[in-house]
Amino acid sequence: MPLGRARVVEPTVPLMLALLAERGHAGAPAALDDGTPYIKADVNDRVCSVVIQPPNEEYPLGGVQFYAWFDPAAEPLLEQANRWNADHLFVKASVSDNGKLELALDMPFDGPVPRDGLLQLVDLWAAAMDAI
Amino acid sequence: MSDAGEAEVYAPLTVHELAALMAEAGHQAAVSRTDDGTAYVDATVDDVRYLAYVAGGADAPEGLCFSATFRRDDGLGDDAINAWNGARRFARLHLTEDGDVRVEWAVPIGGGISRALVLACLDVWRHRLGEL
Repeated sequence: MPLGRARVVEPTVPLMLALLAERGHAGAPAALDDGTPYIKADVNDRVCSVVIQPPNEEYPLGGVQFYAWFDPAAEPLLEQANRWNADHLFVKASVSDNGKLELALDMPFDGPVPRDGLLQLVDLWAAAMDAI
Repeated sequence: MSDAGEAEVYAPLTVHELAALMAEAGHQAAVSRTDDGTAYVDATVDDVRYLAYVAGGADAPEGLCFSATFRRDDGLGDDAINAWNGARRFARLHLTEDGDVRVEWAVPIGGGISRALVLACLDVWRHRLGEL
């Protein structure tokens, strides 16, 4: 099948804020201590962070990243993370250094990406927030 | 603001197109089918065998997926797997029910994916396999 054409956009904090709002999720711009901008969002009653990670020497591809952290459940965390990773295709679970269950979704990009793809990303993350 | 116009993308990306791009990137790639008829790519790169497929099917592709499974006789335990997952982006490990180690990466491709990004993802995947 030949290549088609799609409307593409540069992933930015303002754009992701707009796409979150389009899907009915609240978000506000924030900044890390070093000034790096990100979004502090509320997706299906889960507090999470959205970061536009630019390419760097270690990772030549940028990433549109979603993160959320959860307090330990009764089940051992490593087993919980392993089961999540076995059952879910797009969202990665790991146990953070401070003992929380971390979920992460990271879509690579090397330039402008289809707008519909970013909307799909928001939907994938929302589904994960419902599933956890 | 963030609108970058239009770009050529695979929308949808088919398994045969994926196999052709994998071959172009230097991977051995052959389209095969599961017992239920689902198409996938049986591939090898750097003497490591892996599978690639398009999740969601040809009509509504959601993800470009890679998967390889290793016997767990290399000392990789739960803590080491978690450390691997925490230290790396764009792929993750989990233990299967058989006790093997599986490395997977699912790239969200709703809205389409460019040829250049597929090739870049193949480079990242190859690098990740080399780390195991």
